[in-house]
Amino acid sequence: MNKLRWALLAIAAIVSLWGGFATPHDSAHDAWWNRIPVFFALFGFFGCILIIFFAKSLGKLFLRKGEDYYDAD
Amino acid sequence: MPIDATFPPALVMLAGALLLPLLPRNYRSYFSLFIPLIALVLVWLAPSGVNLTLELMDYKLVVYKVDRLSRIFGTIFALITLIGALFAFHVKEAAKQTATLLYAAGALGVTFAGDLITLFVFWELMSLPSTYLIWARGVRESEKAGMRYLMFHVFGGGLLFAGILLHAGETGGILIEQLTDRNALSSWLILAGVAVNAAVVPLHAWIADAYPKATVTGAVFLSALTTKTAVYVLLRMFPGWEILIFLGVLMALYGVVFAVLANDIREILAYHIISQVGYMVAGAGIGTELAVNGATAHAFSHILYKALLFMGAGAVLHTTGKSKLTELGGLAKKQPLILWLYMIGAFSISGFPLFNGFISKSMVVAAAGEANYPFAMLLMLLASVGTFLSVGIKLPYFTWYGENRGLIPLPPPRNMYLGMAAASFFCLLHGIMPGLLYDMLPYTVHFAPYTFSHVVETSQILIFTFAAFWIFRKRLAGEAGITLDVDWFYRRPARWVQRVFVEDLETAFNKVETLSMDIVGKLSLLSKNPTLIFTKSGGKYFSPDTYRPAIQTLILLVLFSFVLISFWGLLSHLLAVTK
Repeated sequence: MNKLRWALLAIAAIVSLWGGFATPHDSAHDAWWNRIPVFFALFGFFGCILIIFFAKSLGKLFLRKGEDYYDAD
Repeated sequence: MPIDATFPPALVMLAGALLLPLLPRNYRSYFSLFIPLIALVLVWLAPSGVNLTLELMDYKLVVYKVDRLSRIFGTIFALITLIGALFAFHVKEAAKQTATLLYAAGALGVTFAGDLITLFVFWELMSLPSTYLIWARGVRESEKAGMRYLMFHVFGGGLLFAGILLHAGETGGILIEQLTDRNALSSWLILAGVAVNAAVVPLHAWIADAYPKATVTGAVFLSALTTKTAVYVLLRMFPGWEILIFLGVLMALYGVVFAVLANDIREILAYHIISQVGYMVAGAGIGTELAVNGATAHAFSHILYKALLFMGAGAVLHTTGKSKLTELGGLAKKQPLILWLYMIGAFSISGFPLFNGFISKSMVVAAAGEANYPFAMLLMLLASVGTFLSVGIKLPYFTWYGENRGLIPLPPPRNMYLGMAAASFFCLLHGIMPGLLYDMLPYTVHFAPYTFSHVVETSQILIFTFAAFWIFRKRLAGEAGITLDVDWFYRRPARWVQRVFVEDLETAFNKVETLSMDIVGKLSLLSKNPTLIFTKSGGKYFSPDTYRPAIQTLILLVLFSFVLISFWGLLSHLLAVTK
């Protein structure tokens, strides 16, 4: 990724975070997470990490096998 | 029967499938485009209501019934057959083309069936042609996977048929209607039969097993038809069954987790079918108007972008002969057009604004919120994080970027680009103009996807998912090997079953056979001379002579008695003389 793309991504990130603060809230109807302006940024970031590590540890634990696992004999 | 607007599109496909092998080789590809086009036009022209009924013994079969729900599903099935045929235009084998049309005929027949018997007939019609599309790859592993696929679907069909028979017995009717009786065994059997085709966890293993081993073009049709006809039947017969919410959310996450582990690019996509169909199953489970609309819209969008993704992955396989992340890399400069067309599908499935996934997935998520299932809503959003992670970033990153392995791809047939471009067109069209899709949905839509908060929410999720990927990208590189899934339960024991029921049984039979032959032999030997039991003498075979005085002895005895008699005669004579 070149510098221009990183810059664009950074701008998009900042705009989306700003958008979180700018979203009007109706505290009577909103779910609890909507009251946190950066909730979905955290959700995306930590959700992604959670999925990666959960899946990979399952794989290490018992799910990943060699290519010839089913044809071994 | 003249062809008019009430002619069933499934029969057009069926007739096309039967005619196609008779045509000259060079016309077949055009014909395979022409037939789905006619079917598409017929779906659009058909008047709503019952258009064709048949009498079968005491039952009245409703073969062709059109309403808003079946029309939108019929539209997308015919459309994707057309687009897929464009992608497969270079394929000249009549068997593959015929199988495709038969398969599509089955899907359209299920969609427009008004009764359970018609539904079952077309349901079963799908299974064999779809199996052929797996076998047609022609390698040993696709042969074996195809057989497992077929057996799984025969099992599912059996469940469905048992359910239909029970249902007909209980209610006396065979018309397709919403099933509401949660205590009837028949409902659960039908649900289980449909769940097999919808790849509902834990009945899903066939999809990740077989789809990556199908032909390049066949996988496109497979990804579109089987699971979505099942979603259609769920929406038709099981709206509001709460268990489907749980199962749908489970599917959405399950597919995501397993896709992270997969190494084959088409296996990643197959796991994401499970994940995406999970949204639709959950939508059926919620069962409100918004949820049914959302599930229908998502099925429509999903068929387009998933076919596009399978076309992109298929094009890579077709041009390089490789489909594993560990063997791919550095293709971005060599096939930029395939990459960009693939990325349109990837942005769509990830739910980027301006792509069709955004306007349909969000309907299901919103329906979960509206029906007061906030937890389901959050978990579906989590699944969409995983979708972007695997299909949107990991797969293209390691296929087209990543380590350059010096692959030199062949140029793909031009029609592949055309097929991908057609699917991309609809992905963008509905993303930009959601009204075009919303107007076809079964209920009136009161849902606006492009609100400020929704766009912000989606952007935050996507941007920060990418950030997390970039930090941990090294951990996500493909690893050689396979992932165990619930297919372990019938693939691993296969060797034990083989050992116990075939090899051990054969050994046992052989042993018993040898033993009994041995006993028979010994008994027969014994019967030749039973006296052996009592005496050790007499030789191997019984001979009466052994126990009979020899003839010499007899003659001797006779002669001796003559001698005796004559001696006594002589003696008595002498005594008489001397007296």
